Amino acid sequence: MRIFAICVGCLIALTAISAAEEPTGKELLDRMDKVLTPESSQSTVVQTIETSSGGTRDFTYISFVGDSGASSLIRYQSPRRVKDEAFLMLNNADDIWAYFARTRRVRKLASHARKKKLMGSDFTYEDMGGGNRYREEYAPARLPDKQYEGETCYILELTPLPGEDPAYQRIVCYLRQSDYYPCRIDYYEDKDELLKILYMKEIEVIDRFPTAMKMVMHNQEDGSETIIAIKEITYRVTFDKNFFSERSLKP
Amino acid sequence: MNISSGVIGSCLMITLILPALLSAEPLEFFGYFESEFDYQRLRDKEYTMQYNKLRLDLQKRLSDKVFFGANIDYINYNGATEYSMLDIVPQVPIDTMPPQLRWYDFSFEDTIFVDNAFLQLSTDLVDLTIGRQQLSFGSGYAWNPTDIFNLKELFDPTYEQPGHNAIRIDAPVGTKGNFTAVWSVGDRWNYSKYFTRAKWRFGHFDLAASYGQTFSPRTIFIYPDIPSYEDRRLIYGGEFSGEIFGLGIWGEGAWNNMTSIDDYFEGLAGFDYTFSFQTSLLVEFYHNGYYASDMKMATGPEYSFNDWMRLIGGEIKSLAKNYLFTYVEHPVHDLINTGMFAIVNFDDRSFALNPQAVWYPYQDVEVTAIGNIGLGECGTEFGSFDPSGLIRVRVSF
Repeated sequence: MRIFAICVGCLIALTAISAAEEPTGKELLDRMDKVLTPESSQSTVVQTIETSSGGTRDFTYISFVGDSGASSLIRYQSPRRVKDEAFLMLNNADDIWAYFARTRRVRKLASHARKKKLMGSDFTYEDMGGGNRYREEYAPARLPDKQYEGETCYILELTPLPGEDPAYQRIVCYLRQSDYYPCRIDYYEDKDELLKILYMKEIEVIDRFPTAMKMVMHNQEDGSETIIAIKEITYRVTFDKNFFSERSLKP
Repeated sequence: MNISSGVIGSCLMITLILPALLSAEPLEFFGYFESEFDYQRLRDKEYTMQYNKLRLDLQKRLSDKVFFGANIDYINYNGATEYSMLDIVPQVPIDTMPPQLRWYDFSFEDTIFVDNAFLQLSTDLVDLTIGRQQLSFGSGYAWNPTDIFNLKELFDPTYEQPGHNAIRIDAPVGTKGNFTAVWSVGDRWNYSKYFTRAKWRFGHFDLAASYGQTFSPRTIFIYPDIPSYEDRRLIYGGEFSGEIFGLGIWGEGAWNNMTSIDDYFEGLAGFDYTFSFQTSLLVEFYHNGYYASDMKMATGPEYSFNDWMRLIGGEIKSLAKNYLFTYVEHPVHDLINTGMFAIVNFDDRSFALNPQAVWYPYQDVEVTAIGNIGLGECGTEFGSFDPSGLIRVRVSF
């Protein structure tokens, strides 16, 4: 009888602990942010756009990320048409500068430019900017868990905070329960109008950070698709203290 | 074929740095081939012209601190390559001229030239760029009052600007500031162009103040025997770019201190916005105090022959004082961008519409089509011309 009481007591305690550990929407967002935004990284990326005409366009760029994603710089290496063009994004892509190699000119872009497609791809500047933008512009809510590709995922819904004007009206993230890394993100133009789906594939742990070596953004509207493949990536990069500035935009 | 004298100087420069170019790092070659077909009607006569342009870029990073860049352009013109200015200037002012003065002709001739050839030396504190290089300043889109080096093509304002012989120093101040100084040699010390600019970031705004000296040519075209002269121009400029209420905003202005004519102000303000459906809108208002001096607004919307010649020759940036430039762009397809420029001359109430489309049929191939439709009374800036257009194909390699 005593043993039974102890067992029941333990069960109740475990249930309580388990319930206490069930993450809320805000905690899910914090944990996803943490795995998505390492302090710094440098990577070489190939971006392939599958056009609606059935062809492909390949772009190669080097990406530098610092300040846990708040600062980033990307410089195109190919194709020749855009060689050496570069974008500097600071303050979670609130401030964007573009460098045009043909004219050797730097132009500041307003934050609304975040909504523009990057080099005609299905990714916008905002999609590339990263950082804690989700936390600044969206309210998180946890939805019932779902099965996705044989794995139970936490479902995190993000909707715009009052007074904010983000690029998407609703974002739904599928997070792996093992490490809170998203394996799929749905972007909605309106609350119920699905615009794009981002599939995170070939997830590897590199230097303790889960990393999707391949990301596929599928546009639901026109059927186009953009694939981002990471060719090489290094975390914990030490940048010069003035690296994320206009000076670094030029080759 | 006309080989520019700049070739000699640039070749000399290349020779000087040749040993460095022979270092282990490979020299990168790239560039583009461009072919453009232009159509226009002038005085009920059709003119078609086509050019082929080959731009070859050379680039080499000699070390972490030394960078070399250059490009050579070859342009070949075909079709209607010889014009008289009298064909271009509207009939109304020409009718006012004595017949013996109607002799201004020009032609497009095949040319090869070194457009840029520069060496950039970097230290922790400064970047020093020496040689023929592109220099462009200012936050404006269609005009740049603080840019003393270039004149933008109003109907194609983002086309690359030519190189200028200069020494340029850029000194970053932390991550937020930058100081730039440019000196471009003249035939005498006092006749050199120079430009300085201090830029700083405050919050989401970039602010800059500039000061420079240049020389504005003044020619009296109706008295061709009188030589033109250059008026010293000191500019005191300022600019900003940032955003407010979600709109991208910018402004640029310069007070121009002139030696022999009245000082004047030139300035602009603009905004842009991108909608969630990818359409973007850009609006820029421009005021120029140094407009066509012979304009007779009181007697009708007419400009003199001298005004037109000074505009075409680049001596003045505009015929009138106040303009509005708007641009709407929308990607109608993942491979096609469409847009429309509209330029309004508030003073003579004429305007130009410029529909355009850019198509990317293959990787590194872009096809651009731009039309030009002028509306307004005869004798006005944009109402004096028949429709025209161009198609440009560019292949980058």
